[in-house]
Amino acid sequence: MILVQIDGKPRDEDVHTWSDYIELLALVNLDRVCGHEFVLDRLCDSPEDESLTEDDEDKSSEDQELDKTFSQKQSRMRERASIKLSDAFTLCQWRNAVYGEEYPYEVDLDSREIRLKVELSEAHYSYLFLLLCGNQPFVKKSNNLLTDGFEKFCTFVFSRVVPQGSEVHVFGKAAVTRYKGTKLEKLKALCSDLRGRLIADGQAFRKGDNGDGGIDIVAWHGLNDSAMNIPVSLAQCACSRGDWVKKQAEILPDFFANHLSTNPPWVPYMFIPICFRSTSGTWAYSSEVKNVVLMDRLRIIKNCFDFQAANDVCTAKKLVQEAVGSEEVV
Amino acid sequence: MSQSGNQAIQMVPVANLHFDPENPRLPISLRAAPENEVFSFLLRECNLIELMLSIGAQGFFSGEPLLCAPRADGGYLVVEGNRRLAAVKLLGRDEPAPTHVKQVAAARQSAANKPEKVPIIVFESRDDIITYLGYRHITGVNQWGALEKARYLQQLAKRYGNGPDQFKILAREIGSRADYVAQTLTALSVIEKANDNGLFSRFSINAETIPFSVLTTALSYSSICEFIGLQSRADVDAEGLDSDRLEEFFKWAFVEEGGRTRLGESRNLRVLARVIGNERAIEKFRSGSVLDEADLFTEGPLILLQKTMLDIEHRLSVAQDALRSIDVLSEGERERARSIERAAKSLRASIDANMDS
Repeated sequence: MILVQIDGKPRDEDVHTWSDYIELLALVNLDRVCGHEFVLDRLCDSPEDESLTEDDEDKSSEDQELDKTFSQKQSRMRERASIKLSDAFTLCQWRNAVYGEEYPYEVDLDSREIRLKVELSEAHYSYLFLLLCGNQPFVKKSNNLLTDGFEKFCTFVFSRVVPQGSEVHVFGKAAVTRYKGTKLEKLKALCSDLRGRLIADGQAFRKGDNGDGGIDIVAWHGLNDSAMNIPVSLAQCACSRGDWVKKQAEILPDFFANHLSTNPPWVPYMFIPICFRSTSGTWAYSSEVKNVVLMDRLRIIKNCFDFQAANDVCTAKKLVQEAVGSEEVV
Repeated sequence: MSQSGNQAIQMVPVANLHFDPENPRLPISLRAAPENEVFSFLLRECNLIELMLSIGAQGFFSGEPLLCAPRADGGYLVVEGNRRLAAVKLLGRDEPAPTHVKQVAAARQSAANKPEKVPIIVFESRDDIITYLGYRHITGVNQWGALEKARYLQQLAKRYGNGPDQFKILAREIGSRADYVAQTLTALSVIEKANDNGLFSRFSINAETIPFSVLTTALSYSSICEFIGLQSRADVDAEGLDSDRLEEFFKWAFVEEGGRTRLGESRNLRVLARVIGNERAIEKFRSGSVLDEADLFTEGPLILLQKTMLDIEHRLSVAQDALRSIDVLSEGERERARSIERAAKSLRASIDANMDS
C-alpha cells in the first residue's frame, strides 16, 4: 500500500520536475485533472517562499533592477511561477508528442490543463509507475516498494537493450542468489562471470562491507566460449532526482580501476525514472550527463516492448491504481 | 467610492446576482456566455473547489460582502467577488457541474452551509468599485494572473486618461512601479495588435492560451522591443509595430510545431534576445537553425567560454587550498588530476587551433 501526498512544492526548479508535479497532481485528483491556476494557487500559498524566484542570471538586467526596488515582490514571484508553469505544461505537450500512445495524459494547452486518460493501458501503468519512482518525496508509505520495484523494472528493460543472448543479473541489494557474501566475495564472483581482472584484495574493504559498490545490474554475453574479451555492461539505478548525477561516476570503469577491470572496459548504464529532457528532446542539462548510457524515463518506456511483463515483475499496476484519484477533497 | 441609498450591507438572494461581463478574469469570448460556460472556466482557472469547501464549511463570510452595481436587466452585477459568487451558485445547485464533476459533488456533499442569500454592498456604478479591485487583485491576497492585471490596468487607464503622469498615477493606485505598469500595458497593446493583424486566427492561438508573462518578460529585452518595432518597453501606443516581424516573433515564441515552440522554454528568451540582436544569428535562425545553433553566431558562447574558464581557474585554486589539509590521498585523486590535466591541454590545443586558423 502506498500513499501519495502532494504536500509541498516541486522539489527543485527544473522544468521537467514541474511537469512531473503537474502529472502527479492530475494522477491523484478525484477528477483526474490538473490545471495551470490550480497548481499556481497551490505553489503560491506560501508567498514568502523564495524558491519561486529565478536565478538572477535568468532575468534581464532591467528585471533584476525592478526586483530590487519593486515593493510587490510577491506579485513578481507569482508571475515567474506562472511562466515556469507554462513551460511545464508545454513540456507535458512535448511528452504527449514523443511518448505518443504510451503517454497516459491528454494535454489541452488551450485550457492549460492535463487530464489522466480514462482507460489506462499497461504502457500507461509503466509510465505512471516510473513517475512515482522519480517523485518519492511525495510518496509517504512503503517507499521500498518503489525503489526495489524500479530496480526490477530496469533489469527487465536492461535485458532488452544489451546484446541478444546476454546473461542479465541483479547485483545490488535485491540480489539473493548469484552474488552473496562480502563485497569482495561478490566482486570475485562478478569478476569470474565477466572474465575480468580482480585487483582488490582482502585489504581493500572494511570488515563487514557487504555493499554492491554501486553496481545494481550486470550483463555480459559469453559468446559461446570461455575466453576473455567479451561484451559487458554494468548498470546503476537511481531514483533520487539529484543524486544520480554524482552516482554516475561510481559505475565508470575508471572509478573501479583499483578493484576490477574488464577488457574491453564495460559499458556503464545509468537508469533514472525521471524524464530528463527539454522540449527540444535533448538532455535538460547536457553537462550533467557523464560517459554513461543514460536511460531516462523516455528511453526506458521506448525500450520496454512488453509492458505487462515489466509491470508484473514489480507490481507496478497495483501501486499506480492505489494512487489514482486518491487525494481527498477536504 | 460613492454608494447608493443606504450604505448598509444587504442580504440578497443569490439568484439575483450576476457575473460582471467586464471582469478582467473572464476571457473576452466568455463575456456574454451562458453561466455554465463561466462555471467551466472558473472551475478550471480559478480553483473554485477550494472556495466551495471553505464556504461550505464556514458559511459566507459576512465581513467581506460582494461589491455590486445595479444591472440594467434587473438584479445586480457583482463587480468584486465573482469567484465567491460562482462558488455559492455551484453549491446551491443539484445538477452535475460542467467540469470537475466529482470534486464539485464532493464539495456539495460535505457542505454544512449552502447560502441562499449573501451580503452585498451596492454602488451607483461599476466605476465606483474599480479602484478597489486593484488593491485586492494586484497587490492583495487574491492575485490575478498577468493578463488579468493588464486588462484591469487598461480599464483603469481609460478612466484616468492619457496625462503626462498616467503611469505614475496608475502605479500609485495599485501600489506598483510606473515602468511595470507601462510594460504591462505595452504587452497588452502588442497582444491586441497581433489580434487585429489576424495572427490569432492564423496561428490558432488566443490571448488566454499564450503565456502573457512570457510576452512581458520578452519586452524586458531591448533587442526584442527593437525587433518588433517598439521604441521601448514603455511604448504603450505601439504605433511603430512591424507587422511582419511581430508575426515572426509570435510564430517563434507561441506557435507549436511538433509539440514545442521554436523558443522552447522561457529560459531561452535570453538566448532569443541575443540572436535577435545579431544579424548573422537571426538569419541562421530564420533559415531553420535551432536557437542554440543560431546562438553560436552571437557573442553568447564566447561569454560562456570566458566565464567557464574563470570558474575553472577559481575552483582549481580552491582544490589546491583544500589539499593542504589532507594527509592521505589515493590513486583515484591522482587519476582525476591527470584527467583534468588532459582536459586542460585539450582545451588549450583547441583554442590555439581556433586562433591560428
